Amino acid sequence: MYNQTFLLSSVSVRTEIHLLIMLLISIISPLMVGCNNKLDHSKLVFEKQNILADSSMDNMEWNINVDNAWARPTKADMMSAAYFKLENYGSVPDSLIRVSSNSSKDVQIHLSYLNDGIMVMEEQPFVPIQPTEQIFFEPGGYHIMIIQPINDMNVGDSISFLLHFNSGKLIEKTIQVGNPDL
Amino acid sequence: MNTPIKTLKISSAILLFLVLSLVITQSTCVNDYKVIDNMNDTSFELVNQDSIRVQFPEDFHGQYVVLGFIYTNCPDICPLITQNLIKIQKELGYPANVQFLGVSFDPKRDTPDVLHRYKEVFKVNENINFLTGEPIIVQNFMDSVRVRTQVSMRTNTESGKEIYFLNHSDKIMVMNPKGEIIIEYGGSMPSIPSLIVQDLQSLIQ
Repeated sequence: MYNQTFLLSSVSVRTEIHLLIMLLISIISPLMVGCNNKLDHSKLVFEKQNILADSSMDNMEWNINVDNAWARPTKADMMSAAYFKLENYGSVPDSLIRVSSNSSKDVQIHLSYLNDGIMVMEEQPFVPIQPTEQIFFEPGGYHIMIIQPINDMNVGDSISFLLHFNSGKLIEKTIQVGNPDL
Repeated sequence: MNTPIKTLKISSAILLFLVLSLVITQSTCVNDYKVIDNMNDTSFELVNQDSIRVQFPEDFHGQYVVLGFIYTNCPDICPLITQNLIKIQKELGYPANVQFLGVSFDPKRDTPDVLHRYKEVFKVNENINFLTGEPIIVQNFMDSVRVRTQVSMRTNTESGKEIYFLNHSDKIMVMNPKGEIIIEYGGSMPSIPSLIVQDLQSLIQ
């Protein structure tokens, strides 16, 4: 009887100890996880800082310039074209993917070329530019087509464009209206 | 037996013959241009930028005519062709006996009013006129001078208005006073004005 009672009591004591251990674990575990979360979070912050550092390095290497820009005179609602030299002084390749302007109803990147005696003009989805490369937007080749400008474009006027690159970089450029060929 | 003096005389005669042949050939070739198209086979009733009727080629008989082919919705190549007409006229010294024509191959959109505005943009001299006409007549005219066009692409502006562009021949031609096309050049190339000026100067002499 005593033995049975002892055994029963010892079983209950063990059960209580188990319960106590489980309780302690359940209390400590969230604290441990919390500590781990804090560690993970600081790690994420550290990684994010690295990405920002990489970005700033990209900024140093990305260096595309727009020079010698001009646009052909025209009347409102007619057509015109803009020309310039795109030069990549940086060390990363990129692509001009879009040009926008508030000065006309639409602006598109186009290429003219001669094919079997016929002058062909095609819209270009992008114009890639490699490091050290120069791309000439000039009459009879690449050009920015200005579709139906809002106002007359007279010699001496200027219009603004935003050049969008595949990297997400933007170049804002104000272009003089003129005609160096005449 | 040939003596040295006789040989010298024969050699001199041959040399003289060759030199004379060369001179005669050169002098006859200067103005010898093959007729490419005789425009007198058909008469085309066209209209200029001021809505004045033009009968082609009759109205231009007795004059040299420099013809370029353009459409005003062309942002890149046709302005070069128009510029080349202007440069030729300027380099020739604005001759009164040479007419300059920019003929539109897009008559549906290039009405006289539109051509008038186009002429204003380029601030051209009175001797440069832009022609258009009924679409069927303009089409026949372009066929007669072998100017080909094809709709290249259609695009919509942000306001939803459709605009189309044309692939087209790139030509400037010279028609002589008899109404014959005698020279044909690439229209938009930068080197063209000096070539045409050189040819016209030799023709007008």
